[in-house]
Amino acid sequence: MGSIWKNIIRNWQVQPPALAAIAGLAIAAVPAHAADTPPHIEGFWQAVVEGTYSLTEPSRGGIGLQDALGIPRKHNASRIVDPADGQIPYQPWAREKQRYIEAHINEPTKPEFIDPQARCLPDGPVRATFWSAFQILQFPQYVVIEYESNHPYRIIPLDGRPHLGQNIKLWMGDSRGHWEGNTLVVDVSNNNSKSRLSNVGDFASDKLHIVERYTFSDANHMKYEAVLDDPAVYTRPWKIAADMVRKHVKDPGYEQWEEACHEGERNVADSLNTAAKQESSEK
Amino acid sequence: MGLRTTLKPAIAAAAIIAALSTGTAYAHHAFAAEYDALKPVTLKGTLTKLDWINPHAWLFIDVKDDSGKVTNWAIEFGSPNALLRRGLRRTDFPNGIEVVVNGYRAKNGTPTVNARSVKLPDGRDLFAGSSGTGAPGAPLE
Amino acid sequence: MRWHWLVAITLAPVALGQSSGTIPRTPEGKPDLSGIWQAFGTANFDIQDHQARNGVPAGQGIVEGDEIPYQPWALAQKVKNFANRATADPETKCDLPGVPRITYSGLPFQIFQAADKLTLLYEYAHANRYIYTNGTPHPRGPIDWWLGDSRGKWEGDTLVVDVVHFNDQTWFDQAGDFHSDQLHLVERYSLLDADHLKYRVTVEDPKVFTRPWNMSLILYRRREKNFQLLEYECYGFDLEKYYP
Repeated sequence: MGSIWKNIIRNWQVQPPALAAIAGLAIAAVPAHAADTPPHIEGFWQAVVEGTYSLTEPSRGGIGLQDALGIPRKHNASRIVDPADGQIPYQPWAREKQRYIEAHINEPTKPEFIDPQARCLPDGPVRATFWSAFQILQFPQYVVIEYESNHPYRIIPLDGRPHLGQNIKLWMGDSRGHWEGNTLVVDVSNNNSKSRLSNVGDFASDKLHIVERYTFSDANHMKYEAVLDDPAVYTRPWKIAADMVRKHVKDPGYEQWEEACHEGERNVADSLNTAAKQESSEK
Repeated sequence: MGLRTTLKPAIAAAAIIAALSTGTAYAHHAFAAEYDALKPVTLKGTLTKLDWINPHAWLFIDVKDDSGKVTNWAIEFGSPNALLRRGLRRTDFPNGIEVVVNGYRAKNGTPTVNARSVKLPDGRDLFAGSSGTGAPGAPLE
Repeated sequence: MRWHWLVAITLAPVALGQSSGTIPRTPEGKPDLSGIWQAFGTANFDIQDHQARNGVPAGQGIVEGDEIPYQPWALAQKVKNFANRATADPETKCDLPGVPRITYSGLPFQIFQAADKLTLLYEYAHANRYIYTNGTPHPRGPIDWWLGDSRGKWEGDTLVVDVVHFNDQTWFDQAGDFHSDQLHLVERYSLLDADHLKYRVTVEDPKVFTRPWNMSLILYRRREKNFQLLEYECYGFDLEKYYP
């Protein structure tokens, strides 16, 4: 009974039929359906294996560095769980493009070899999930996700409204969500796909469509899954899965602080200049 | 060459020991595009300027070489928020203090370093590097 | 106690979304500022009275009394800023605009109100502010943030927000009005009715001004069906050509 009142207070924008039920509660105890209540998901969450350098080797830090230092490289399992080989099912031209970018990221002789993330451009919905911790705010009509690094955000309406028209493309896409039991299902369209999916040049086109599933197994654990579908770039849809944990459980006073980015960004110009110098000295 | 060989295990050990992620301090650039992990350097200098900015703070220090010549070095840090959360403020870095910096030199030959650690006069040793980009000390699993 | 909740719940949904009448309230009885808001007018160009100039409509200012009490050196700086505004205005670089300029930037923002904090998400360069209403103090300074640190409390039906920890890199408008890192703001948000949010801010900066001064304006709720925030990633406009 106490939890029903808590839910009513928290979900104060009740629909008219429930209103009658509330009035009825004062007189005759008719309990609301506890099963319809989504889990409490507010707070900070982070991928157990962080990092966006590579989707196939998620804990990898950089090409050749571990080798140069004589540190044995340990490969984590690919984030990609479908197809079974753990690789992105690129069309041949797209695989070629990804390899071309990957070959040049440590010597970016052209601006396109600079990762948009390095320029502080928003990561897109999937990559942002792995780059830093994120805060979930939960309201009856919305779920809001605030990513800590560079603070991009996503506002996810739960009221079943349609997506934006197709002529508006967004860095963080356009999200629409609904609950299925303990799973928040988010449909993401209108992706401009100008950001990349990893440092090593994984990419999509603006035809990209994503369906995410955030499954909360208990108060502190969640599984994140995302199916990416883009007929212009891939031969078939493919799926990422990752475990997430609740952060700052022992530090409930933790606050998300400002993370400005492009205002103070100084590395891109230097990377381009360094590469240009190296290229001309090699000639 | 000999120097590099003896330093290698030390660097590797330091990298592993220093592989503490501050949680949200993933850097915004590929380390190897700018810095050389095979060019570690230790610098002792006095602070001339501090740019307490996101995504990377910068220290500028005057370093005197054996001949007495002074060069101003630019030292790249991690995110100031990581330092703020550890209780540091820009007033902890007044001009003139002496710092010891360990890091990796820029590939372009300028006096620029990506710092792995910075020792303050009171002995505090900060993990100042940025992780997740291929920088030595990035989480290795 | 329970009866208060019941009354609040039964009344609120009737008022919500029907007319500009009753102020929506949270279960705790506070005015609910949740929703999408936008300022109209020309304050982002010039917070004082001004006539039209190329690209800028005429406007009645939002500065109370229309006078900004600059110290003499600061007035000279403002005049210089105005002359150089085409390149010197931080907005030309798409820097975060600071507070209160982000309030009247001309783009909408959405307030999500919870008991412990209000989250303000701005369409401008995905900026965000948290206004903590949980009684926590500002973190210890000095801290240099673009949008400062905000701590709020309710005085009756007015949300009073104390904002400090600013850098000195932002302007109040395109006309070159500026501040130092000693900037201290007190914002006041109060609902006139369900669709109109009165915003008043007291500006204090002992390095730049001779006394505190005030700005005030009205924020309008965006009521169009399915209205939502979009994106204005201005620093990316020139870069998009590299990522076709």
